[in-house]
Amino acid sequence: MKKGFLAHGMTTCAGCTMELIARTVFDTLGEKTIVVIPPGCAAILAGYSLETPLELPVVMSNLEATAAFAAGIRAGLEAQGKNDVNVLGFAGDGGTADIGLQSLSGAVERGDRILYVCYDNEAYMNTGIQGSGSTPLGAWTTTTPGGKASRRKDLGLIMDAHGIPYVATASPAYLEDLAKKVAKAAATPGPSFIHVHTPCPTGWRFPTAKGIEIARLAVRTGMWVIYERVNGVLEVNIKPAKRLPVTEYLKTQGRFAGIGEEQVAAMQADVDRTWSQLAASGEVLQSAGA
Amino acid sequence: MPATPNKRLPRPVLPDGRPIKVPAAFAVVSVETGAWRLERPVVDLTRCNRCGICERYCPLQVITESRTTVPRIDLTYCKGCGVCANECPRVAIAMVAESEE
Ligand SMILES: Cc1ncc(C[n+]2csc(CCOP(=O)(O)OP(=O)(O)O)c2C)c(N)n1
Ligand code: SF4
Ligand code: SF4
Ligand code: SF4
Ligand SMILES: [Mg+2]
Repeated sequence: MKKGFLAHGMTTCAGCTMELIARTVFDTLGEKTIVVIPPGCAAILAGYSLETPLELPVVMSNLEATAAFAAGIRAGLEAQGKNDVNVLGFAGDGGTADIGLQSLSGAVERGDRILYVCYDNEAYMNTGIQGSGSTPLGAWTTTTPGGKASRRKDLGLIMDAHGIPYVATASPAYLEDLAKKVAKAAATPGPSFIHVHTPCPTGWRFPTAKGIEIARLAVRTGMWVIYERVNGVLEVNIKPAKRLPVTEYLKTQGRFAGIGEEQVAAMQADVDRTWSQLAASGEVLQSAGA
Repeated sequence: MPATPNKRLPRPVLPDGRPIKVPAAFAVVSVETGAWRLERPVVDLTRCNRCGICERYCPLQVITESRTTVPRIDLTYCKGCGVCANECPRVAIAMVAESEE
């Protein structure tokens, strides 16, 4: 009864949404796909030595170089005249927003045809929940024991600043939207980037059953905007009818237990500003670079 | 990116010219993660309306037939996370404690 390309018994934590995201991405891309995975929780999917749970060609890159590995594989395929193979980089936020940012930036600047999916669990989970450039304001991690003092980086805007032809966000609560975006990204004749919100029960301190509910709350509170930017033109794909207060999201997770009132207010103000900017532009914005 | 079709790429070799042995097949591994489970999902078939939502969101993808017959859960792997029970709109899945034995 095996479904898809991944074995069912993997050592990801119970309730891990990264696993569901990975399955959706692989199933959408199909068997003509070469996968690059750096160290991080998703390295479980690549396997070790001669053992792997993944029935697709996969290589474990080093943490700095997911995009460079993928770009090299693409160059090799092009040299052989093979144009019908997807090259996927599947990396965490630490490997994308911080440690691998230079190689990703280089690949996008060169226009290499790679699909890069960042599963964002908002910290370095695999090595013990250290804070990353994508950890949100106020969140507890082992390196931000009093809550993170600064805001997170906006990966989508960083990609847009490169003039990337396809950049999108997605969520495991909206799997059809994710699958549609993966297919579109794979068909893009240049680099593409998908940033997927990835609730992590172990690192965010919530019960294992709640990952999808929390992903949905992030969208309904407006904290995680589901959008797509094709050749610089932005479109919001999911518009919550009535945005819930950000506290509805924050209170579901132990990592925000110690958050201060000013930080909650700052987060609500950020969300409100984002959405009023989107509304003012008719929800379809032209990016600065377009 | 220059695309130079080259149908005859060299085989990988060691510095002394001996060919590098590339394993023909990798072993696909699966751990019996069902042993982790503290609670097991039990479907109440009188409530279930075969909507398929539990199957869609199971992170392990070990639920099958939820739209065609009844949801079947592969307990060899099910970790007992409870995502299926939490997402079921009919509250048709109960998480029941595994017994000591
Ligand atoms: C250059 C380098 N620094 C540090 C490490 C150790 N390391 C391995 S996995 C990891 C965490 C990666 O975090 P992220 O990319 O967010 O993935 P996650 O574990 O959260 O899935 C780190 C720091 C490494 N492999 N390489
Ligand atoms: S730490 Fe989080 S992301 Fe990593 S395997 Fe566990 S649940 Fe998944
Ligand atoms: S989600 Fe609930 S109602 Fe829908 S198929 Fe699963 S058990 Fe049945
Ligand atoms: S408890 Fe978790 S692993 Fe088991 S069937 Fe439900 S969603 Fe899948
Ligand atoms: Mg991470």
